[in-house]
Amino acid sequence: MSKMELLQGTLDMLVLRVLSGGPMHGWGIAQRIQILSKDVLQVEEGSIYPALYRMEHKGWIKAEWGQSDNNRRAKYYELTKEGHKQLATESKDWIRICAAIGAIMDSA
Amino acid sequence: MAEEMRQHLDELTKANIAAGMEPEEARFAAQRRFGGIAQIEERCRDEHGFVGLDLLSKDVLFVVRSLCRARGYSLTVLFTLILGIGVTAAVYEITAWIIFRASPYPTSEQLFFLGFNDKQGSSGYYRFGFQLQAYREQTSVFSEYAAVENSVSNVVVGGQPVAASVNNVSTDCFRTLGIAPVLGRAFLPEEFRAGANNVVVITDLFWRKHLNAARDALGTKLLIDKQACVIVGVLEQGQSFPQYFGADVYRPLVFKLDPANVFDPTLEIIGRLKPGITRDMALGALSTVKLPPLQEWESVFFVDQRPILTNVTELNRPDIYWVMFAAAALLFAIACLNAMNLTLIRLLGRRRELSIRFAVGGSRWQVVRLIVVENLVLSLFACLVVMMVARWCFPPLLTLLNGDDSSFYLNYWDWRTLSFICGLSLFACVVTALAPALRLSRANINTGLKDGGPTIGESRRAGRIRNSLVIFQAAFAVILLTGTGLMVRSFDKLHRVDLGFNPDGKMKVSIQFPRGYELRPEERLQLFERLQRRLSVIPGVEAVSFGQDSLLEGEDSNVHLQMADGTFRPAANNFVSADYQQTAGLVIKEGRWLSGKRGVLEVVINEALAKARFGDKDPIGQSIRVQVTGNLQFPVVGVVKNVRETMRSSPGMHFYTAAWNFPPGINALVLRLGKDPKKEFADVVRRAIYEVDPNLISPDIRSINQEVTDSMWAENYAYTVLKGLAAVALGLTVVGLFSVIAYTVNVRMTELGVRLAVGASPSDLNLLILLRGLAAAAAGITIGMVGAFGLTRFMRSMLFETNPFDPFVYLAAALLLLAATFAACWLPARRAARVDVVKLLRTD
Repeated sequence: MSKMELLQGTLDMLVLRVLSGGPMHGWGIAQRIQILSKDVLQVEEGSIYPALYRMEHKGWIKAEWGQSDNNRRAKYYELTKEGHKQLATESKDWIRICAAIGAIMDSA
Repeated sequence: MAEEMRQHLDELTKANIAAGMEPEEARFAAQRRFGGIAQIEERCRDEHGFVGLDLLSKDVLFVVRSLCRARGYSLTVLFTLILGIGVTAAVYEITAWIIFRASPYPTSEQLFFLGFNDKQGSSGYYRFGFQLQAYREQTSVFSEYAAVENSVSNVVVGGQPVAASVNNVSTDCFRTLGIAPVLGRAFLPEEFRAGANNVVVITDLFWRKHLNAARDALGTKLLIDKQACVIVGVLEQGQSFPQYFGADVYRPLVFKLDPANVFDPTLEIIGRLKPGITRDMALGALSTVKLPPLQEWESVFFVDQRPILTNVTELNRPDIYWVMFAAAALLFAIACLNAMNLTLIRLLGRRRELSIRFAVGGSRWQVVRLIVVENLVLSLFACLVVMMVARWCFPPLLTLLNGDDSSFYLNYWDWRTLSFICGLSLFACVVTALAPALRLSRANINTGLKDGGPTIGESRRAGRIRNSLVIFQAAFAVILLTGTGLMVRSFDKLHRVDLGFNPDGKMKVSIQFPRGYELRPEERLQLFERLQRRLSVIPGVEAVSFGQDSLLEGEDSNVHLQMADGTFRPAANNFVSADYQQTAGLVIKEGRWLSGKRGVLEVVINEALAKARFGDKDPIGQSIRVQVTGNLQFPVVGVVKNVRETMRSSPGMHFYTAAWNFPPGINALVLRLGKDPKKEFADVVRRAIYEVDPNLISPDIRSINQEVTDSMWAENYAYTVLKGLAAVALGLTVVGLFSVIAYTVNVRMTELGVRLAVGASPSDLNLLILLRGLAAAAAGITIGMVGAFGLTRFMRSMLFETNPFDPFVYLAAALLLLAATFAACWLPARRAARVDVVKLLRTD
């Protein structure tokens, strides 16, 4: 199966979901999305950074400098309370949209 | 680039190498996977919000660099903005203190002048002591009253009599108006009693002028009507007073009513309304006030008088300030239009650059932001320059306008001025960035790129916008020019007014007598003869005469003259010494001047009287009769040329009789000097008068020319300011027209070349361009004329014998603008005529 472009506006949700597992740095987030999607989704890895800054600005996540596994300085992102809430909302919406689209596709 | 992103790339590269790629290849693959680094950085910055400092500084740096490259454009816009903002701010400084600035008196909305008007339509702001007493006793709408009595007093400082006005102030006066001396103290309550009131508070100006601003001036004494008064306080520099309240010296008012004379004291009164009381409630209360019983002749004065209340801030707002302010606003509009036009032209010049920016992925918002920052940089720079100018150039400018003896002091470097300047700059920036931004938001990348091709030409719409901007600029300039033209005309008329005598070297001295100083008629005559002798020995004085009125004394019809049909009409009489005609330089038209012999009844009349009374008949040998003299007939011995009583009124009926007829009427002197005296000369004269009799008060000693200048101060002021504004406006319009036409020539070069190639002559091209400029100017003139027609009527009160719709002025303004247009189009038109076809064809 060929790789697919990410649906518009879903990157934030994916990042939030990945971060709900615990603090992580940018590179890690990108790898995780790659792995979890079983290499189907093609994410321009750089584009998670604007997304991270945006969400930090909105207060959904917070960032802290820390030590990475291979002993380099790395910026770790973590969900805030707001972020958890946001993730819950977005997940719910996502499921509804999937269900709606699925219903239409099945009816044909 | 942020550290974490670099790490991310490193990791990707490492992973690729681990997968067996060559290092070079691995790095490229990593970058591919990461995405466009520059774009991501840009997006990250955008996420930081608009005022990312890093971003702004980058933009500013870029803009400054690009502005430096486009030096012509930047300098022109800067020049325009600096002129526009600077001049507007300067005029604002001059006018705002009158029309906008908050009242300097605390809670001034509660302070009201107590005045009256009557059925005849006359009104005034003076009241009498017994009325104030009645208000105090019968109403409770005012919490306190500030009252002053303008007193005629002789002020002597260190043995030298000085021209100074004295106001006696009521107990509450300073407190009500929120006035307190900066040096020394205000009056004590016990000083408002007779005998204890020999203390004065002086103004800053008086302190500087007559006491050399000495710190130890407190405690020194000055003589007021021969009473030694101690200076206890000096007021703040530029302390403002409500109208009628201003004076040089303030003294406690001893409030005492004189049952024999209800008109004493005469006061100007300001009341402070109690909280919760409105003007209407107070008026209601005032109209119910019952005056004490008056003599019949006294009560005549008060018949039909109704009280009026006028807020202190409502008086003293002459329209000349509004005219100047409006003119400055027009100029600012012109400057903004100019800057807007230049920005638009620059935008069109950068069309290709901007289109490329769009094409390679720049967002519209980014490009608009660039334009906004560019304008911001320009207007902030202009703002800075203007602030510097305001700091160093406004004070001398104001001194220049107000004369060295400026009675008001302005704080030109305060936050109001600064914020006004900043506000103007910001406004200019927004306005100038608006048009380009709007155009950009609709810009079509395709045409932008295509237009870069050989068929380069401006879009019709853009051309129309720029054209209409120039047209409005021209229209505003025409309005300004017309206004200025009217002022010039009025000014010129005033300067050419025939006073009826030669004012050069003439000086007038008015003499007043302190209260209670009585002289028998014969003594008064002798006193003036003594004054005449004393003043004529002052070096430089050629002749001295005395009389009832000096020259330019104002209209005062003091007698009733019997006309040919037996009715009486008001006329003015002047009792004069025999040499008055020679000294004043009256021109004898017929007959002779008064002989001056005692006991010989004779009269000299002016032309106006001769015409009104005797028509075409020869008046010499006839006689006139006035009401007060009963059956006395005055034989007419001569006719003199009309002499104006004020600058602005046409001469009325006037006649001259010998001073010995009625010595109590004499109270003025006329001096003739070789040339106009210096200002200090007045003090020499005052000193001489003081030596003759220290009781005499001589507040008004002025040369006639000074009087003429003084009476034209408003015209002078407006004329000077408007002249400057109109010149700047004309200059800016020329710049605007020039830039538009020059740009048009530039973009139409190819077209012009083609025209030339198919047979047009260079002069055809020249004409084509000139006509284009003149068409814009003509449209502007038409609009401007209509605007001027609507606006100049507001100047009517400032114009002297000048029609606000004077066609000559309108025509002159139009021609001036046309000439300026011609000048502005000349260079571009010449360039068009010299277009080099071969060169043009080669370049494209």
